[in-house]
Amino acid sequence: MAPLAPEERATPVLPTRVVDPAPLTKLRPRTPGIGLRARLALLVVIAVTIFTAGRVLLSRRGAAEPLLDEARSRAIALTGSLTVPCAMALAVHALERIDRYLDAAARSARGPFGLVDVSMLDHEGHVVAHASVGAYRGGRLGSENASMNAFLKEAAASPDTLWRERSPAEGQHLMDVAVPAVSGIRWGTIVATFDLGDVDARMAEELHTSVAVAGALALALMLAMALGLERLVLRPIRQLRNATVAIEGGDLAARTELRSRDELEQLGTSFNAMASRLEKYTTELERMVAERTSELGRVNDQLRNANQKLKELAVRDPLTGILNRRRFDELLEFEVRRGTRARHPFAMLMVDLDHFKRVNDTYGHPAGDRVLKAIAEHLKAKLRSTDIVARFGGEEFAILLLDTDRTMAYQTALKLCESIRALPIHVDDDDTGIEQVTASIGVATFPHDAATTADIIEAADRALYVAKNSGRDQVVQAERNVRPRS
Amino acid sequence: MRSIILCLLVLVAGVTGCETRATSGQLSGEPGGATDPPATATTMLASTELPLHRVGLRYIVTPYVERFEIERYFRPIATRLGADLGVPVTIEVAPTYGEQLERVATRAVELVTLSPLNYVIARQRVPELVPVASEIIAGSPTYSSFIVVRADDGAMRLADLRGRRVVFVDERSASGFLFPYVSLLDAGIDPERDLGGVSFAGTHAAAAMDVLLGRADAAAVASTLFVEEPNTSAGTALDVGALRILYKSATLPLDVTCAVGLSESAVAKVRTAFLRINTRTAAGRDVLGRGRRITGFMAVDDRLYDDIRRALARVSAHRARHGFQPTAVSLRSP
Repeated sequence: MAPLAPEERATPVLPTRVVDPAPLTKLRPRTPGIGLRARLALLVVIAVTIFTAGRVLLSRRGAAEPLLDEARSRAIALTGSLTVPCAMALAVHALERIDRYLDAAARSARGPFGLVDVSMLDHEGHVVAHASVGAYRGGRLGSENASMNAFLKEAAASPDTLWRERSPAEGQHLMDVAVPAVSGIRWGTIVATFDLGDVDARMAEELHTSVAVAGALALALMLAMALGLERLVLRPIRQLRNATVAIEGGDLAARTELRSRDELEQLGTSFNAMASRLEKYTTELERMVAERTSELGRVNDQLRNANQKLKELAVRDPLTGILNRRRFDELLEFEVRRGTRARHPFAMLMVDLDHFKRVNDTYGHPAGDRVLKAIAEHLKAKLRSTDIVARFGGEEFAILLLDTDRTMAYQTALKLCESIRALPIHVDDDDTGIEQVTASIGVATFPHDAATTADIIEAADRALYVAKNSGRDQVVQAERNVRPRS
Repeated sequence: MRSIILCLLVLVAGVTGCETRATSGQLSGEPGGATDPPATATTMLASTELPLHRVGLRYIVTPYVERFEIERYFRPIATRLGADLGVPVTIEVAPTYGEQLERVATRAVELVTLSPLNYVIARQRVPELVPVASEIIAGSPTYSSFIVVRADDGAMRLADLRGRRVVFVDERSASGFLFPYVSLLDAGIDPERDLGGVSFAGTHAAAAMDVLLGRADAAAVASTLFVEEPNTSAGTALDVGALRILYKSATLPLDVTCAVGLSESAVAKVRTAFLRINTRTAAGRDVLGRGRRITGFMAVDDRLYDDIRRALARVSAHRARHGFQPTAVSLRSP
């Protein structure tokens, strides 16, 4: 049997697909950066911080407007309350009364209203009375304050109530109010200046309160957003990730159970569908692999059996079933090497059936074959299991008696010769024809008779030749340094 | 994520930056009254603006005080008006309200000064009567009606006057009769039936004096009594500090000067001339300084007297039920 070609030994039973390795490289997970939770938390913190800052700014403005409106209303009301009595006093030219009114106003309205300066102008804009509080000197009438003088001029000419807020850059945070003093006709104008320091203080206080409230709101908002994000986003994503990791780890039955009624649930549904398909494909693939593997095993068994058979065929004689010449030569070579190294003696018997041609001629070649098979079986039966029996060629058999010295080899050869002679052999199919055969045996021992493979064979063959020539049916031992037969 | 943060920043900046706070402003002044006449406006009357056959204006004033006082108060005003208008203005003093009204009704005068109630009554008789300017007394363009009692009186509210003696000024006084009468009606007191006695003193000071002297328990007087110098016309010093105000009415316009038989342009010039007379200037103080504390004049509108009309109608109807004929309202047909 011809040996199998290498390409026939592989059994690629599964369909294969060539995959470009480049995309796989891209799919390789990168070094973990900031997690999604941390990013969302950062986003929430930034958003809430911006919201809080905006809220504080708005609330600051929102707080400032009412306070300033209130301060302005109070200032106008206070100033307006002076207009009628002052107008009436001016109508009767009672300037000292106007002074009393203004002084009383300046004294009593300093604290609650922040009044720091009050004046009355006549209908032409001339100052007719004036009172101020404490050390206030800013914008006093007649001063070099161009801004104040311009305001007074405008106030005297305007039929309306005027007010202006001086920027803090001018020193104190002040508000000027001018109310026409009308009592029937326009008698003049009351101009008052108010210190908005208390308003600023209240604004600062409200700002602090607003900041505190906004901070608390922001914290609550942050927590709410964090909880909301955790519940609405992170938890579903974590569930998706866990399912993905489980599938990556081989648990193809892993599924998500998202019920958020949003895109994440859709994603989860798609994921589950994908996982189901993957599981189905994988199961199918595994089934196919199992089938192919089973088939491969079966084929491999057949191949192994075939190889074993081939191997047997390579070392056995097909007719007798014992080792052939080639295997015998290998074993002999091995034993020579082993014997040389370990100083173990062994013997080689060369057995040749006597007049075997006559059996063939008399009974036919099938009968000759039966004789050969019977002799082979007989030799195996008679010898130890450790001894080696081989068909050397034709009607010749070669035997290796391991761990056997020359004397024992000779005794064994004699017993074999006698047993062959006594062996009845059925040469017919119906076992009617019984033939007796004899054998000539040449014995050579290692290392006594020869030390190499060729020499041992030669020595045994030469001894056999002597036995043949000496009348057959006998055993002849090789002699040392006997010359080869020609 | 970067883009979301940017959007948030832009949003906050937009919300917080789109608003600026006003740091100055003005509030609309009171309508009317506060506007001075244009300094350049001419007040010179053309001859065509005068009634036919007239070369000047006749001005009749209320006979509420002594004639010599009226002469003293109004003569300088008439002179000043004549100077501004470019025509002579002669002053007359009516001996009675009835005669004054008759002079107006017959176009015997062009200008007339009336108390608020008399203006309402006269306007009913002479609808073409045009209010020109109202007085400003001691810097005040209005006054009120008071019901006063002695400071030690036990009455604390108007209802406490039931069965008490009340003195009024005159049936033709808004502050001295009409509004106090209405206030008593509002308090559930019928002055014709529930009071212990009703009298008329003739002047505000006399009415107050009646209370101080114990001739009456309560008096209806004008608020001007409390802001003017003590009026001694009653012959006795008036100690207003010994009085307690039990009721104060809404404000009433002061005496009003009206025009009759003048063209619209003439009325406007006369009004401007009046408005220029006030104590804001030295010249004005020269004119008014000797007067009865008139400090100026202001433009008025007829609607200002609607409250008086309603009160007059109510009192007239009430008194008619009590058989009063004639009353102040009977002047409808003098």
